Amino acid sequence: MFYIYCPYCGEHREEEEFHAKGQAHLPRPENPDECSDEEWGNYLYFRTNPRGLHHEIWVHATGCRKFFNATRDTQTYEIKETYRMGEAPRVTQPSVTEQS
Amino acid sequence: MTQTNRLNNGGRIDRGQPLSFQFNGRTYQGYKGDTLASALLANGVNVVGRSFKYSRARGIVSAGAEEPNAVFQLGATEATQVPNVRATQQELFDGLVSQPTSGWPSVNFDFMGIFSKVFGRALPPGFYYKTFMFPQAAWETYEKYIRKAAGLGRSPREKDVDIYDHVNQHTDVLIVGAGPAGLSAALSAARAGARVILADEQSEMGGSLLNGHDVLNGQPATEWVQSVLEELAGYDHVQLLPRATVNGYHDHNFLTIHERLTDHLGDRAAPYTARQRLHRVRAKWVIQATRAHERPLVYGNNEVPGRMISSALSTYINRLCRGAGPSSCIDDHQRPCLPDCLRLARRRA
Amino acid sequence: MQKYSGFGLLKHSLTYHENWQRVWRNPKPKRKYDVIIVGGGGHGLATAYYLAKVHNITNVAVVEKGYLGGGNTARNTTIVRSNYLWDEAALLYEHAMKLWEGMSQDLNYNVMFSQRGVLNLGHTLQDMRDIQRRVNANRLNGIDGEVLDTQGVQEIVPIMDCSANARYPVLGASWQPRAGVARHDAVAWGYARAADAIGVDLIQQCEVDDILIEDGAAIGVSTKQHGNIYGSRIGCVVAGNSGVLAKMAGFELPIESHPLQALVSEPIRPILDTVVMSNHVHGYISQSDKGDLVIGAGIDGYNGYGQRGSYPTVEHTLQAIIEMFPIFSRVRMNRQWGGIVDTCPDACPIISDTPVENLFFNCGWGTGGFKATPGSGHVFAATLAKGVAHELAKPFSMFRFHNGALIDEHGAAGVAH
Repeated sequence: MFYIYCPYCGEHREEEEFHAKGQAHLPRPENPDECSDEEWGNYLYFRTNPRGLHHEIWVHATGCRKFFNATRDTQTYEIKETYRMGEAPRVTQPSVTEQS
Repeated sequence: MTQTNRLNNGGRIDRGQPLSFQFNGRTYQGYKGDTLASALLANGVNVVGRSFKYSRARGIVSAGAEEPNAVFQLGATEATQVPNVRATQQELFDGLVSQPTSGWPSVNFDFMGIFSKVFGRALPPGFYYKTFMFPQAAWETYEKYIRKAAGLGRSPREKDVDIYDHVNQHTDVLIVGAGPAGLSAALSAARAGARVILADEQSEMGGSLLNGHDVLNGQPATEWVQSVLEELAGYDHVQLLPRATVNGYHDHNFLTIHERLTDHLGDRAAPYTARQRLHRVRAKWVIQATRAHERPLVYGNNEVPGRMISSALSTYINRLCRGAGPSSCIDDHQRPCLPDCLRLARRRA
Repeated sequence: MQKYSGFGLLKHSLTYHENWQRVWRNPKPKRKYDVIIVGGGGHGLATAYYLAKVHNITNVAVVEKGYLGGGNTARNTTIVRSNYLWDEAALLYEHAMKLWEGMSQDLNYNVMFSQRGVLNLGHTLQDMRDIQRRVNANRLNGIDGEVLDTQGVQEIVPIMDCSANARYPVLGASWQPRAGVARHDAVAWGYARAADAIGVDLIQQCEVDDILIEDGAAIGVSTKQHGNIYGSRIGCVVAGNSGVLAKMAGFELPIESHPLQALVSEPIRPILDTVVMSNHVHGYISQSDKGDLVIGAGIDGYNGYGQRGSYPTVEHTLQAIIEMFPIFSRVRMNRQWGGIVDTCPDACPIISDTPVENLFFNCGWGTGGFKATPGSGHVFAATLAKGVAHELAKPFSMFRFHNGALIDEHGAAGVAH
């Protein structure tokens, strides 16, 4: 069970208090009506789903109920950082020791 | 009923508290502090099961969780049945009822053994992948009989009458195992002021130090254990959890501990009392002081009843006061128990 | 292929079983094949078998990064059923069901397919309406199914708690009598042996690290252990790792990989002889021929390639099991694990061509892959043989997520939706 640092509550809480909400930083198309089917479909359904570093959204469902971001390794489950909605991740490359 | 293999003094059992128990329909006597395994051995019960395919007789080979043979059905009533209990992990209580889970009609005379002796050679590992295909419609009939042979113990058929508890905890240090390493670690951590949870599967803390005649800091090791436990019990920030198996190590130092609150007292807990408790622990650090299992030597017929791993023999002689039966054979390669055997021989002489 | 039979066992017992033919060869890969199948699980091996058996394409390699059937095929809870809602999905799963019936004889390998029935419980009025609708749809498609009331369920599973006092009372269930379980490892090994015998090369411990593309068309794979292997057509059947391979080929998939957990009890005497699933309380259970209670959970919500999930998911599932079977409270659990399931937004698979010519993907089966194994392999083999999707695969193009023709099987997908 993950131990997740809520950037709003300012402390680590149990994974049971949160829901995972999928890939982060997906820009919603400015003009959906002008999207082609393919562009709209890509936005709704296609995902990077990486084996490795993943920027993902979590919501503190039974806590402050706010949404935030996390950078987590989907293979080791190590949470590298959590950061507020609207912020950018600091960890974007696997560390030297992890590259193989 | 006399306990023919019981030593007359020494050990950590309480001869002042005799207990009566049943195994395979017969009644025996043991003492408080016994496990079901040590009590059976003291009573000269050597055959506790049969091997799955060839139905060879099986005896108790260990004194702990690694026991492969003494797998029993426990319970005096339908609702309190527990399948697949290892006799080496079950503390004896008055009125305990247990049954072997292999052997038909009985563990001492197994009819399946005849079938296996005749057909066994045609049943190599995975033989069922190579047959039972003809005719197609017959598979489910074959399966019905295969299923009858499967399983060791059985599920209860009545609803569980007990209640269970769980607790969420945080700690600085979780120490798994209260043998010499775990106790030393707990002492250091506690003296430094850290919150400590010390969990051990056994009823008494001390691990291997309880099973021999080691000397530590100039005293018998058992006295060292006693003094350490007294000191640890005096700290508010230390929680001692005997009869508690740390059974899961999950992400980010989340662990689960299965604590048995009343299984050493009876089939079921008293009303409104929890029978077992699950601890859900978030630890800053974890120390695994779990030691290792001794492996048996490999040689022909190394699984005949009476064969035991040597550390188990030491445990039975020194802690649980069961002497070696006339046909015991010892695998002595990892933990020299020769001193214990000599001591034993001297007593009998 | 040396025939397996009871007589064979007796005959070989005379020589202490030292003369059995190896179940499959361990060849070094050739430089070029007609078809390369990436992924040596149940689906990939079934694909290879049907390519060789049905389409006479035997110059095939199955390239597996670990050992055969070591991924999701080893980790599922072995349930087989075909009671899906929409025509497209129902026909595909029923195609698989028909191949299950007779698979042991076809492969000459006992996959222990046991048609002991599957119950999908309904605990609310809406559950029961959905069940009624699904059963009606099944029967219109020629798939067996019945709606049972509480008493009907109790008769099939006497040990289940169907009392009115239950927190989640059992109002009824759908019942598919032809559904059941099979021995998952045997399916992989059976297909592997049969495919190998017809000439397919099974290359294990061989990890693909790139897809070789020339002028927009796939021409082969690059592997860590054996360098480049060329192929006229490439079929990727790697379940949870599909996104990793797609990335090598330069495109994304509408798939997210989640952990799916399962656990078994210690072996106990036979007590449950059918399969019980409950979407609502999130747990499902059957009993193996070895005596273990086999229990499955829902997926963990986060993306995960770790082949493990979080503890509360298992707790939640065991709560469901005890809710349905209070008598199992004292039974001890023995072993738990997880797989990596590739879930699609509509809970239906992808059997499809891709933006790269000659490259085809069979994935997205999510939590419903094992039951489809023979059907998936058969249909994907036809797709690879002809270069165009088989009739049953046409609705499952990856491009349905562009044109909106999703097929929502979340309800029928079961517990893990």
